[in-house]
Amino acid sequence: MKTTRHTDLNYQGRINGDVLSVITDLLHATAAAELSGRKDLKRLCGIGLELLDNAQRHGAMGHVAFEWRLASDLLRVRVSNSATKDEAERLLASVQRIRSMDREAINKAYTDQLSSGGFGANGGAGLGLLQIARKVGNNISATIHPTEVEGTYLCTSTVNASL
Amino acid sequence: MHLQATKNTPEVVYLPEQATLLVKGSSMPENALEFYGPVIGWVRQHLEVQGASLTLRIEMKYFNSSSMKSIFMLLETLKSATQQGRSGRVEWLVEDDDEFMQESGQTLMELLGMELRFIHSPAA
Repeated sequence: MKTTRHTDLNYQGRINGDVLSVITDLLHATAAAELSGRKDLKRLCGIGLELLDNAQRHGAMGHVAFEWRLASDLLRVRVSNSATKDEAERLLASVQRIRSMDREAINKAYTDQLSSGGFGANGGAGLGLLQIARKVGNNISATIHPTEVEGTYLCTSTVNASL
Repeated sequence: MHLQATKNTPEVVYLPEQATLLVKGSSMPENALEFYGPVIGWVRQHLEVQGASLTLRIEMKYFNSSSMKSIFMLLETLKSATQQGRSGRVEWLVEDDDEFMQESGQTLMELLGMELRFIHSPAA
């Protein structure tokens, strides 16, 4: 008999180290319960954590909307946050670049960044999206829309992973 | 020297007289370089001494991608010292069925061209 899996986790609010820690524990517990036996649980949870990490590092208002939806054989992770125009455009460019790559190019970009890249002004290593892409290929998308606050954009990153 | 674990940073235990440095727990600091910079400094200073040796023991549950970069730099520091005649070893603990830690260790080993001693333990 096929087991039906369905989990929805949603969080909207402030993002900081404490919140990230709680969400980490929750994701790992949820994944272990719903996907027991898989060896890639940390990689799957890592999708959400890297997106949240990016939102924390590059977001403008310190708030996020986070969604983790596990339905049957598909995991969808979505994170929205506001950001400056520069940060929003940087996200879009990074995602578009990854979407143009095949697996081999993604792996090469990841290892090049790991071995030769530096840290950004916000403390990021430029590896998060590439690490996600190593897991899900280019099933990653991003949109940006101007908000009512001048110079601020709503950024939404979505990752779909087949299970 | 000892850094207590926090919700987002691992425990770090540096015992110079035993020539060991342990990194244990989960690592998700917003600024990984800020956390690991001093640790890399300890390793660099330790290995400046002629004939020094050091064992790095990595006993981690999870780390974010910027921590991965910092661990790369930590291991790179050790490798660089071994090329100058120092002695260094990396023990990399992996719980059974932990693909993340296994693959991360293998990636580092291949990129750095250095041996990591994988130590497997039963899943908690």
